Amino acid sequence: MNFRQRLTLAFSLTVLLCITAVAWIIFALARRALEQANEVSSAALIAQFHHEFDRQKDDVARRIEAIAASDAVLRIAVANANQTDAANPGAYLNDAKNIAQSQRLDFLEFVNGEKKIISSAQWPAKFGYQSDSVPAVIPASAFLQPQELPDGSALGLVAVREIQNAGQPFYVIGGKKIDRTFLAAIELPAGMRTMFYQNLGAAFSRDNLIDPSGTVRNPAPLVPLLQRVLQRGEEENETIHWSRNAADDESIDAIPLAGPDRRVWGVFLVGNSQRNYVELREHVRSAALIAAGAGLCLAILISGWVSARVTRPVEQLAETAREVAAGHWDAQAPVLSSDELGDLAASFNHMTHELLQQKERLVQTERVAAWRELARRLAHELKNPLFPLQLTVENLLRARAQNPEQFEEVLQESSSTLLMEIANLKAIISRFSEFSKMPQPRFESVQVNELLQQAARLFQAQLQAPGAPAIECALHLENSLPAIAADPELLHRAFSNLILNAMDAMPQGGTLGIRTRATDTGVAVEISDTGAGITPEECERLFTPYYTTKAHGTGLGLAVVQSVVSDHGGRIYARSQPGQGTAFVIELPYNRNKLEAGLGGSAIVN
Amino acid sequence: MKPTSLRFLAASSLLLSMCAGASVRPHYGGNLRVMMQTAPVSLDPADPANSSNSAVRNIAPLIFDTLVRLDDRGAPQPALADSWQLDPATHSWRIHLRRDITFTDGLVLTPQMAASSLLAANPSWKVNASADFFTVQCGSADEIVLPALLALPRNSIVEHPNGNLIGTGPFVIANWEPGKELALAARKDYWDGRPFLDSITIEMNQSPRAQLLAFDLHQADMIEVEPDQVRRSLTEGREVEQSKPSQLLALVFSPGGQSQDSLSEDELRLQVALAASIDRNSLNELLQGAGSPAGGLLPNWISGYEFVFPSLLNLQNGRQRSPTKGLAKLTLSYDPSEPAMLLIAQRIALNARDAGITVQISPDGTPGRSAAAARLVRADLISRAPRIALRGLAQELGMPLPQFNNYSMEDLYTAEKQLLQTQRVIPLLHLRTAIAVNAALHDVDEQPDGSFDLKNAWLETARR
Repeated sequence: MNFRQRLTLAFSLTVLLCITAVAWIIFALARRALEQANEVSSAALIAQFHHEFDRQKDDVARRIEAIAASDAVLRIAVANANQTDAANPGAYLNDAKNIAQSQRLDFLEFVNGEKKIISSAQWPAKFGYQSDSVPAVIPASAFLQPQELPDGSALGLVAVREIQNAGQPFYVIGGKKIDRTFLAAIELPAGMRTMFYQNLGAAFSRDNLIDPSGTVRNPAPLVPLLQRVLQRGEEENETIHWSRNAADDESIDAIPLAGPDRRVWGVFLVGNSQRNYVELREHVRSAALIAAGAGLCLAILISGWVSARVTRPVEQLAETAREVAAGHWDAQAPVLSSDELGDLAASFNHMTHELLQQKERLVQTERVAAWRELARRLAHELKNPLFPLQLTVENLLRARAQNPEQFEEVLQESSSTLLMEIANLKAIISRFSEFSKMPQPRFESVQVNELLQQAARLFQAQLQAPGAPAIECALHLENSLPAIAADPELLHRAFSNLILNAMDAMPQGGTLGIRTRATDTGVAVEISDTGAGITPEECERLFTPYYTTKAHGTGLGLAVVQSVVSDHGGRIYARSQPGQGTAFVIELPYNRNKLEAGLGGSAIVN
Repeated sequence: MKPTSLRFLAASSLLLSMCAGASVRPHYGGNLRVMMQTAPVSLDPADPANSSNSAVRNIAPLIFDTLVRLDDRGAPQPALADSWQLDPATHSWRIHLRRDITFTDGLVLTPQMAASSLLAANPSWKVNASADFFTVQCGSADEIVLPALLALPRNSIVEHPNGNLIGTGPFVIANWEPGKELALAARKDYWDGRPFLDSITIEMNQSPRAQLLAFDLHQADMIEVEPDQVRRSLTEGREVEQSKPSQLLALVFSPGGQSQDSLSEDELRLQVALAASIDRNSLNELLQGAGSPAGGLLPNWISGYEFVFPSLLNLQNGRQRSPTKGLAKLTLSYDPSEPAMLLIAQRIALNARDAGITVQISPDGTPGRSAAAARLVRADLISRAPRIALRGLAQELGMPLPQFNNYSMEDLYTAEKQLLQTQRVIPLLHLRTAIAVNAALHDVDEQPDGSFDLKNAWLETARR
């Protein structure tokens, strides 16, 4: 991963974290706000129910008050007190029913001082029976009380009024049934509903749980909440999970309703569907995710753009550095800004400028040093033959002056000496000339193993010459070594030089090792000896022209080898440890492009 | 006082008395508008579907005559037949017809016509006609009650020329829309004298509420009044005429379990306990005193011995006789078209609860029933002749038909007692039937059995 990608990734992650944090905060705030709205809505409905319940109680109490004060009821009370209808106990059979209908009451009973029912709207046939609806202490307001009906019981909001007539009490007891009609009368916001549990009978019964449409279909999830409220007599809230779908969840507030005896006769349930809340929450979540996704995409784009802007000067600097490394010392990094990167580019340019100048000075110095070394070597090489030439000419002059009779003989001897030294001078000049005229390689497909075998065979006779130190030649050539594109003549000369050096390095005999192997980019050739070895300092200077460790060497052999290897795009280095010999390793590339460019022979490199 | 003054006083008194007499003297003419709740689809009195139809019982005598009539004591009196004698040797009744009786189409009634009409209504009888009389053999069970049987509307003399129904009665059918409306026109040549009314229009299938409304709006002259509405109608100023108790309200038990013929021991205990725990006076109060507590099947005015059957509340006895708690359950069904029946059922359930019996109330036709089941039934007394009435009740209540051996009261009592001992029925109330009549309508003859006779009725202000 490059710097730009890392920078883009860092920017993107930073932006993503920021967006995620913001989205989460927005989502949490929205969720809290929705929950609060939900709670407010439930609280409002509960308050509305309490208000409605109080209003219904007032309404029932008012109606019963009005009935108790009506002439019709007073007549019944008076007749009852006077025993006028003692022989006709069913005389008022339908009176309570008719009055209840006119007053829109579900329950109405007239009860005499003996607590016997005179007339009953909800159970007309019950006249003459004892009433259990008259409380010991009559409350002023309406209260909850179960009422017995022909087909069971029902919970009612009941008020009681007592009429005193000639010392005889007469009770008017009436009210409204708390049933689905009562529930349906409560106005509800969308998504909310009411249910009511009538705590009638000794045991808990699911059939007593009603809603405005009738009996609640699946009351099982509500049972634990109802039982808790019935047991504790306190309001409770619980979220009911009707299914695995969270949208079906419903928040239920349970409100216990007690009678004058403190017994909980009913539980009012306010259900608040979580569907809207869940859907809204999902919408907020989706919006947050979409915003986060869009933000992430935008962040990646912006990060990429910013990263490109930031890294472009660095990349240009790196490119410039590569050009400088490639030898283009005059390459300049563009200075695009005045910030730290601009300073960096300017500093780099300054550095390359200084390096270029230093290089030029170094080259000049090295050139001077090379010329000096060349002059020194040339003087040294030339001085050796010149000194015999001088002695021979002086000997000729001395002979002609001192021994003219032997001058001819001396001339003959001196002439041969002169010719030999002159030939020696020519040889020296010829070697220098050859080094200066190193030819460009002609590439063709070459089997390196074959070249090495030819070189080994060439020196075989010299290695096995009688009287010469015993040198063993050990060939370790890789069988499947691929062919490379190379100039066989130049390679042969390089290999021969290295073999000759190795032989020179083993005056006491030893082992000449020749080894090849394939590499990822070409082939490697190792030529080693088991001689005395050389020091690391000598290793560094081995390939310097005219440097030699031999007494009569010209110092051009390894320089020629390095020149050949370099012309083939390869490299050469030496490994040596004192006392354990020296190994020269040549790494040569395949150079396939050299053949394709038509620079060499027609053979195909594998 | 001067003679002139005396003469003026005498003349004034005579004139006043004449005016007074004119106000109560029957008028001819007018159309009587009657409403009723039932809606018969056939007027044929011999139609088995009409055997217990009170509407047909009231309408049939207007169109058809029977051979005999029953007086207030239930004794047969001549009508189309002027004499009848039992031949002990042949066990057949010889019946002689009144002469010169004609049908509405002018045909003269003959013994053959009467015989064929009776045979159509009673296929099991042997009826033989001669020129002057006809004989009837009806089997030993009916032999002694045959004259009373001949007074039943189903034994009216009917002719079917061309598929029509004609009779010898005081009115002729002018228009008949089955189940809806019947228009009758008076016969001027009726053998027992022309009726005062010119016509009668009977609207059927009218609810009690619709009848009351039409009556108060003067759109009906005579309507039926439900028993529990009698007191209210009277307090609201309507003129209400009530019969003697003419209906029996009873609880009829159906055997549960495997047996379809007799009640199990637990069911018998339940029946006894329930019978003792029912407060019949309270039931009567529910119906605003429209009846009287019943201990027997026949009301006392017919049998004369009803008081010997217990009808008083005996809750202690009921509790003692009540079966064990798990078996003290009863399903009580009632006719939902009669609101008063629901009240009665609820009161019975309350009474039963006092005795430890659980009664579940359900309208007729409700599927599912407990082991024991009873039904509230209102049965008409089809005749004021006690034996015929008892037989009719037994038939309608699903009891075995009583057997009679002689005309004695002991025989009648024994037959009724045997019926009650089957414990299939708990008599509750004997109910009166009631009608409300327009103040301008006079001489509606309310019969003790609840039927009404309009042959002599007349309207004070004739309407045409």
